[in-house]
Amino acid sequence: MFKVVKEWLSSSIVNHAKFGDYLEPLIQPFFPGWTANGFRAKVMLVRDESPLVYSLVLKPDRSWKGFRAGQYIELTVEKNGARLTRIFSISSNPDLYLKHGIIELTIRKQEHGRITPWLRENLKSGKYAGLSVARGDFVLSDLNQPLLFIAGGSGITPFRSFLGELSLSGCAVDVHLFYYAKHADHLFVKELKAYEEQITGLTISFINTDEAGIINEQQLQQRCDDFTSRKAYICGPGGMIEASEKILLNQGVISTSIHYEYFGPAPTKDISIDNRGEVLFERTDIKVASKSKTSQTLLELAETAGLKPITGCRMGVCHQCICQKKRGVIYNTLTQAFSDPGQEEVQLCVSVAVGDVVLEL
Amino acid sequence: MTLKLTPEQFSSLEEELNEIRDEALSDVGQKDADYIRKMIRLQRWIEISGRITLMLGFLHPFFWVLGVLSLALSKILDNMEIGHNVLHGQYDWMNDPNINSRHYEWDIVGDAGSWKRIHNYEHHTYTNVIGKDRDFGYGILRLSNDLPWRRKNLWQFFSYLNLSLLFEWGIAYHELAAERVFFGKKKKERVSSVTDQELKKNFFSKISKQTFRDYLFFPIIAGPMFLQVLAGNLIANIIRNIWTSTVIFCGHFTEGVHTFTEEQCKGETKGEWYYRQMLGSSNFKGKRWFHILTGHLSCQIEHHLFPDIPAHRYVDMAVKVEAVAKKYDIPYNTGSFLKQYGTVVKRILKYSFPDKVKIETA
Repeated sequence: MFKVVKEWLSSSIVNHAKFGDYLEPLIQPFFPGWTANGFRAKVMLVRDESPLVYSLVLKPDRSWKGFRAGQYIELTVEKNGARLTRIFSISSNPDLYLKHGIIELTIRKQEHGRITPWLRENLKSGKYAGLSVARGDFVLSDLNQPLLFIAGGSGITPFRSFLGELSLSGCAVDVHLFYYAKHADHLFVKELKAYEEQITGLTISFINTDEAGIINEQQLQQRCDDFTSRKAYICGPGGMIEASEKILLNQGVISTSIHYEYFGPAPTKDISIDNRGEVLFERTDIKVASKSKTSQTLLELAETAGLKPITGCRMGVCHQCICQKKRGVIYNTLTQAFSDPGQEEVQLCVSVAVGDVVLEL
Repeated sequence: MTLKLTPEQFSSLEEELNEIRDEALSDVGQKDADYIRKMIRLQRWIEISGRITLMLGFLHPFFWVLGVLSLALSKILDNMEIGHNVLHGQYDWMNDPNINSRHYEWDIVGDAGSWKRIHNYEHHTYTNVIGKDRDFGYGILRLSNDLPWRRKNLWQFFSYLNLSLLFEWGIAYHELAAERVFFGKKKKERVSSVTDQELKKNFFSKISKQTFRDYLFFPIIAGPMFLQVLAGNLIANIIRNIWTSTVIFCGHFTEGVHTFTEEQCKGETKGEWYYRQMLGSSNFKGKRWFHILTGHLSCQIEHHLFPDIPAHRYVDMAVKVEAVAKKYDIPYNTGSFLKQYGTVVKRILKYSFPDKVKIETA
C-alpha cells in the first residue's frame, strides 16, 4: 500500500517511477558512486593476467550487499553513449570484500566481442560502472562431502573464489580440481599451486587440452578414481559443460549432484520444435517470418527487423528486454518450457517463437 | 500530390536522403548521450529553482515573475527538446530506461502512450493526408479547401486562440476524440490498439497526477503562498501551451505547406514518402538557443524525414537536405519565425471563409 502511494506521488510530482530516477542526473556529478537503481562500483585497477585475460579490481559502493564465493554479477558500462550489460563471475574471495571492500572480475577478451576487449582499454581506474547484486546458486553447500571441480579456460574464476575462501577457513577438505586450458593458457597458476599447499586435501590437475584433448572418462578415472561419488561443480565453455555432464550422467551420477555455471543463452539446437511461423511486432506493424533452421530468438528477430527494444544481458537474467506478448506460444531456452498461448510478459532474448506470435513492440 | 519527379528521380532522391540519414546515424553516440543528459540536468535545475523562486514571491513580486518564467521554460524544455524527442525513440539506443520511448513520461496532461500512438504513428506516417492525419487542423480548424466550409469556420481564429491556450488538454483528448470515446459514433474502419476502457483510465490517471501536482501539492506546501503558487503554475502551463502550439503550427500550417489525399499516398515508395514529408512540413530559422526551445521542430522538414535521429543534429542536416531539395526543384519551405507565423495566421483566416473560386488542389 505504502509502495503504491509512493509510486503515485513520484509519478505525479516528478513524472518518474521513483524520485531517485528524476534526481539521479543531478546527484551523480557530485556522488558518482550513487545510483537510484542497482549499485555502482569504482574501478581501482585493471590488471593483466595473460595476454588475453585481465582482471578488473572494483570497489562497490558501500550499500552493496556482498556475495558468496561462486556467485556472479551483472556489470553495466556505457560504451559510446549506450549502456551494455555483461555477466561475470566474481573471481576474488568474500573475505577480501569484507576486509577491503574490493571484488575482482577476471575476464577473457572475446574474439570479435563488443565489450570484453573494449573494457580492457577503456575502463580505467577511477571510472565507475554499474553493478547488480550478486546472484547465482553456484555456491558450495556441504564441505564435508568429497568434491569434484571441473574448470575450463576462464571458467576458473568461481573456483579461484572457492579456493581463496577455503584457504582462509583452514579446514580440511576433499577436493579435486581439474583445470582444462590450452597450452600456456592456465590462469592464476602460481596462486592455485599455493592453495594446493595451503589447503589440506586439495589436489589440482592442470590439463593441457592441446596435448590431452578435451575432457574424457579415462582422464578423470586415472587421476581421481572416485570421481563418480563426488559432488561435481563445472564451469567453462558450453561444450565442455555438456561433455562433462554427459560423462558423469553415464557413470550414474545423479543430476542433483551436478552443479554447473553456464554463461550465454542455452543452445537451442537440440530442441526439436517446429517454430516456423510469423512474428508480428504490433506497434510498428512489422511482420517477420521466423525460420525453423536458425532458431533466432525474438530479440534477434526484432533487431533484424530494425527495431531497437531495450536490451541488457541477452541471456535472460536482467529482464531489461521484457515485452508484452499478446498471443502465441514461445519456447524459453532458459527454463526449457513452452509458454501459454495467452497474453504475458516474455524475455525477448531467451524466447523462440513456436508458430505465430504477436508482440507489443 | 502532383508527381513532379520521374520514378528514377524519386529513387535517386530516396538514395540521397538515405545517405544523409546513414551518415548521421553512423556518427550517433557519446556526444548525443552527453547532449541529452546535459539537457535533462539543465531542465531539472531550472524546474527545481523555478518552483523554489515561485514560493519566494512574498519577498518581492520579482521572484514570482522569475519563478513563473523558469517553470514555463522547464516545461518547454521537458516537452520539446527532451520529451518529444525521447518519445520518438531518438535515444532508445542508449539503453537507459529513463531516457527511453517506452518509459518516458512528460510534464503535460497528455499521457505519453496515447501521444505516441497518434503522433508517432498516424501523424508521422500520414503527414498532412486529409482524413488520415488528425493533426491537420486537429478536427477543429479548416486549413485547406480539401474540407468543405462550415459556418463554425467563420470564428475559427478564436477557436485557434483557445486551442493554443489549452493546447496540452487538446493533446490529452486527441486520441479519445479520434476513437469517439465519449461522444460521437464509432468509425467503422478505425482499428484501435487499445480499448476505450484503457484510454479512459490512462487519460484520467495522467490528468489527475498533473493537476494534483500543479494545482494542489505545490500550492499546499507553499502554505500562505497557496494562491500565488497556484496562479504561477497555471500561467507557466499556459505559456508552455502557447509556445508549443505556435511552434507546431509553424511546422505544418504555413502558407506553402501541401495537403494530400489518401489515394495519393497509397502504395508510395520511400522516395515518394520523403517527397510528401518535405512538402508537408516547414522550417523556420533562428539562433541555437531558439532551436533548442522548439525542440528542433524549427527543422520540421528534417524531423519528418528522419524522426528518430537525435534532433540536435537537424540544424546541420538541414543544409544538406536543402541542397538536395534545390537539386530536384522541390520547394523547401523556410523563413524567419515571424514570417512563417504570419502565414499561419493568414492561412487560418483565409480558410475561415468559403472559397471564392474552386482552385485545383496543389
